[in-house]
Amino acid sequence: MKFDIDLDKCVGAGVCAIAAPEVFDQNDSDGIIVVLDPHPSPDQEAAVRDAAVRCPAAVIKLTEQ
Amino acid sequence: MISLPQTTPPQARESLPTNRCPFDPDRRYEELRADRPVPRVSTPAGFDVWLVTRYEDARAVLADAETFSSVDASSSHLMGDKDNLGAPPPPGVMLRHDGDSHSRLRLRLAREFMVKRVAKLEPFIRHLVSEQIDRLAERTGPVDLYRAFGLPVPALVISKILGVPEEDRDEFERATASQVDLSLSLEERQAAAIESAGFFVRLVQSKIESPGDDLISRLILEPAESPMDAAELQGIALLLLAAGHDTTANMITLGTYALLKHPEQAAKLQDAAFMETGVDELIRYLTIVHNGVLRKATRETVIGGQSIRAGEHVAVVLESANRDPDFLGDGDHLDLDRMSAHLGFGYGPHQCLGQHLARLELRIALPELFRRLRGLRVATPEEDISFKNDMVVYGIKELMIDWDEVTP
Repeated sequence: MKFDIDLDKCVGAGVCAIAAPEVFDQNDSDGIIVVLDPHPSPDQEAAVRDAAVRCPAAVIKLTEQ
Repeated sequence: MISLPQTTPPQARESLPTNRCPFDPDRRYEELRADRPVPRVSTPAGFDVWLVTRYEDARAVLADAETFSSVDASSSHLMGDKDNLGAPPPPGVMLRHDGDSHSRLRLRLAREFMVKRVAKLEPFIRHLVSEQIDRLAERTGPVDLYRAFGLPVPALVISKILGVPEEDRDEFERATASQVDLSLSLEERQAAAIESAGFFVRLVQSKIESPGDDLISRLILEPAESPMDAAELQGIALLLLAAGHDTTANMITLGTYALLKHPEQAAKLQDAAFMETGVDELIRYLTIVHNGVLRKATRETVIGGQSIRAGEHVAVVLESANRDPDFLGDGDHLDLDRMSAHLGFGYGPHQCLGQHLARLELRIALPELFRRLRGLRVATPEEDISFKNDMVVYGIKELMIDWDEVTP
């Protein structure tokens, strides 16, 4: 699966880091999203989808299945 | 193309539904969600608002901070003075700031509450919870859980984060608890609010003079494009207390009561699953930030088929959205194994900054309370329990509990 990140919208809520901790983390300096794995394996798909739905600022956009 | 009304909307003929029973939202929301999802209602502060009752509409409003300003977001419709609507937000109080002014504050604070940083507080919170249960155990007879445990735990966590000196923490806890103690008179509560505001003025001054390893000191010391002044730091400290204290205290108290009324769910408290999902489900089910999150339209728009004009207020009813059958088929049931994209922490750029801290406090406090207080039960007749229906944060005014024995 593939996704795009809109960094400008991120408010550092950190929901992605609990929904998909193997794919997303937070920057130490401002809490903004950090992508740990830009090409997540199929077993991470549900977690990434969950992160995209729960992100309060709609930062993560799924672009490809 | 949808035509927008040119005239002032008619005066509301119904009032804000506040009759919760006791874990569920006001029953009127079922009908509203189905038939009239954006009704016009009158509010306790004396002005009318559009209520947003459906999940998808709630997300749409809260996500669109350009169309829906937070300038009156401090629950002005419940406890505000309508003459003060639209007044500039106080410095540092980010929940009422919009756009860049909000981002500047939020992004300086987000790292303090990020997942990794909050996780480091776990040993401290475990120790604190254990100590507070020990204190409970020293007492005999029924005890008010809200006052004796619910309020002190989050107050002491926040005082640690803000860098309140240890010798001052008990005084800090007393002053902050008195502000929300409904057994005191309004005058006594206002006096306590002034006392804790004074506390923050002195705290910020002491950090400016001799910084330590805490949130306020880091805001003072770390270089930034636009440094924060003392008034902003005081506003931030007050907001963090206001947002993180009584909310968590009510979740601990109402959550305990809900779990006692759902013993099949309470049985899951000691499972690892509760760590993963249970707290979020409890937050969804109880949705204590209720009676509407207030926004003000900056331009003409349409929500749920309803035209909204610039300048009109919209109140997003989180407790209704979280029970919307289009969001969750059986949302009226408490199921601690369920994970959902609930709105209990709000949504959009203002979503709760301290959500990971709240989760951690509840993940520790609730299982520990049920594990250590054997035979935990409510010690008063059910009909004597009174709920905070008309308040900004929902909960139980006083929950007298008793137990058989305390385990280590």
